[in-house]
Amino acid sequence: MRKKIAVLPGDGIGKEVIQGAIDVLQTVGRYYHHEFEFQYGAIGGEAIDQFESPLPKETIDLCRQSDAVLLGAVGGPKWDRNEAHLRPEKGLLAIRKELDLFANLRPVQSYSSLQETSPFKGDHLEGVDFLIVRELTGGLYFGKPSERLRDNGEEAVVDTLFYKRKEMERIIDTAFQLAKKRNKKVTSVDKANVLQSSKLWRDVAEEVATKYPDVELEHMLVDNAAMQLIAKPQQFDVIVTENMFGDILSDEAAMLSGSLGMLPSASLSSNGLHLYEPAHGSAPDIAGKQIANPIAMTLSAAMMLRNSYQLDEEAGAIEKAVKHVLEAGKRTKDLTYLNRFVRTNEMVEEIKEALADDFAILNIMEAYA
Amino acid sequence: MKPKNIIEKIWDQHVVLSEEGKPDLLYIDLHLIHEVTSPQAFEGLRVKGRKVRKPQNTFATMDHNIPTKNRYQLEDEVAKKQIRALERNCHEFGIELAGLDSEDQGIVHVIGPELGLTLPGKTIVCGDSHTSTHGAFGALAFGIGTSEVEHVLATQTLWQHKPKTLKVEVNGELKYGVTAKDVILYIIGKYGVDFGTGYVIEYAGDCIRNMSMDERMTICNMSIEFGARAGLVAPDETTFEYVKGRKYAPKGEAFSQSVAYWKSLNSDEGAEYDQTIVIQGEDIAPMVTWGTNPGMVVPVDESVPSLSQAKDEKERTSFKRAYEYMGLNPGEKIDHVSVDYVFIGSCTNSRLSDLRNAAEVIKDKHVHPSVTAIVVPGSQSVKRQAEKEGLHEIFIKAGFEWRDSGCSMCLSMNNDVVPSGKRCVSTSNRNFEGRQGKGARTHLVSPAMAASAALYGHFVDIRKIKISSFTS
Repeated sequence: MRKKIAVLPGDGIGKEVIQGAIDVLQTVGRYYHHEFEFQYGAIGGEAIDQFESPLPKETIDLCRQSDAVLLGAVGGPKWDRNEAHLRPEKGLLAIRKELDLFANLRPVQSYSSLQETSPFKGDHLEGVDFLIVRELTGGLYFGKPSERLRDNGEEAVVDTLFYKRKEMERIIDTAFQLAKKRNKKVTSVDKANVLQSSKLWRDVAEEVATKYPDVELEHMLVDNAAMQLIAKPQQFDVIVTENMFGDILSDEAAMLSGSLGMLPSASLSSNGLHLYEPAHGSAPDIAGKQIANPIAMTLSAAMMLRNSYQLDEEAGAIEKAVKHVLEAGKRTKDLTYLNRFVRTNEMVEEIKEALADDFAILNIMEAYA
Repeated sequence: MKPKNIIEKIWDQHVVLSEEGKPDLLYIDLHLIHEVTSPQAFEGLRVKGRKVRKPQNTFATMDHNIPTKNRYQLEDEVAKKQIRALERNCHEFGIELAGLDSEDQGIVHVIGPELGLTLPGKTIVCGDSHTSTHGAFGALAFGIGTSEVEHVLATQTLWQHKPKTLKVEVNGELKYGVTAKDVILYIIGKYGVDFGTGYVIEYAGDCIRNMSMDERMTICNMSIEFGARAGLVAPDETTFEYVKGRKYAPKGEAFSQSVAYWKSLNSDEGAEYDQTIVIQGEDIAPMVTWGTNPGMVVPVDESVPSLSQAKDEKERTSFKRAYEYMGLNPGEKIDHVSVDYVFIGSCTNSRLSDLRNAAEVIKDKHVHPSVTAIVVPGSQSVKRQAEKEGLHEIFIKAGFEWRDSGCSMCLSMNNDVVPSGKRCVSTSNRNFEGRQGKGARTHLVSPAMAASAALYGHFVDIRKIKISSFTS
């Protein structure tokens, strides 16, 4: 296969981890005989510096000409005091709107080898394996009005949680389709005892559920969901929720994976051009020090192979290599209390070596049945 | 007592634990390891603080990754790492290693029998698909994955579902120019690569009975390409004769006692099999694979099959893809196909008798100017014996490269790689896309067929060549 991938490194550690992911993809391409063509574009703070826009037209055009988009991370103290339209984060929100990336997927898995650094006791996390499906182009982050104002002369501010019914339908439908291929359970998270938007969300969920008779639907209030993620994370298969709720819950869920540095994500578009980025941000405090964990970005690249190109075997090879590296005791700084950790590029080399080893074994053990 | 076949006998003699609905736990007599599938397994032991349960039942060698020339100038980083790892692991865990500088070193499935480690009635495993080779001795031998390697190292046992049994009876005689390699290629071609799935095969019949140990090993080696888990031949005088006196084989009184036990392994009169197929040796011709799995094979005097000969839509699709990858047209005559590389080696056909067969064909002749030909003996022991007989001079004079032992071009993990688009005639066991290098085109044949292709620059029906004392 020959595929064109738009690469948007962004700011901070985004640059460091995306290089690692590209290395790994090229390794996979070599073994499995695929050609990946990478073209770079600017986004976030870097784009503001170069093009005076957090999402320049050139970048959008590049994405539209590609099969998939890999995004590092955006943001940094340098641009913190800019006006709203010149903030790096605006680039992120803009690209999601431009490409209509309405569904954000965050898989959450526990790694038994990371157990010692988990904030949880013993085997509390055994068997954790779920997917958070977060609505990404509507809800509280995009609703208008979103502004400061004067209310009877007094300073006030307003944000809006706005959804069209069809926006809710499509994200909930996506969740059911994913659940169908997994363990057939959807947990719809809302705040229906307080919010009107949640009340409609719940109704829509019930309607969509009738189209998937073999998938179980349960409703959960978001505050309870926050507790359940800690108390009994094994109960979840697919969680579907609004934009802001999803943002908070998926960062909380990241701790179940051992670190924010482990968590990949995929943002699915309605037209097949999907975007893949790690759940973590640009981490300006550790940028340039080569201590960032490249696994989240690398697993995001694996999600790209699976969701954009249906290369399940190749995606599995990357995931397996990551697992092997962790089982062999290799850790980046975020994954260990000890002073024994590897640098970003060393972790990437370990993953590439594990891929090579696994591929060699596959070559030797290949059989028919 | 219900009559049992040899597979059932060996299985029942090795079951440690058996529960309804679960795989059986089998004791493993011999665990062979090599540098590629063992590092992760040893690392797993280390991380969990475990020892190797029975180092004395474990034997290691280096074969897959190592260069076949300038062996001590290891350039490949991955190979270096794996070789160091194996040395370290064997030292740390107390396992005997036939390393690069050992006179016992060779392809794992060649040295096991040579050293008398492979014996009738044993359960033998290795992290390699072609472990079935050892079945030639009446052993139950199969390939296992890396996590299973770790399990065997730690416990000397393995969970396995009891297999179904398939009897492949080859009767009659093989005609001039037809070898054991052609027999197994013929069977896979006739029945397809999935036919043996879920089975362990017993090869029987007078044609098999008349074969030497090397020939039986060639047959058992390719059992996996038939889809089977393992394949074996019941031991007999030929087997005992081969084993006698080998380095790790029982000696003296112990040997006689062993022979008595080994004789009892034969399938009982009236033993049943889940399936039986019967082949006539006379029906078999020298074979050449044309496609991208061992089942895509035809006799050398025939042609690349056309789409209409495919049995269903799925096969039609794979034929189309194979024509393209292999650069062949349906209907093209095999003996018109010209070749670029010739590789005589691999655990299928790299033993002394294989080298002798090839040498007979090329003696006093020269490799075609457009062909690059290499011979990789299966072990340093085979290499030494071949040199004693002057075979290496025959090969070198004819224009072959004479190498040190290793898996080499069978799967091109080392730097013996076939360039993209080039056609390689190989005595190995797999012709998958990219097996010998990205874009490399592989044709599987017997050693004599490989040798004649090297001389003529294209495939040749060796039945038409007079070879003075050619014996199959």
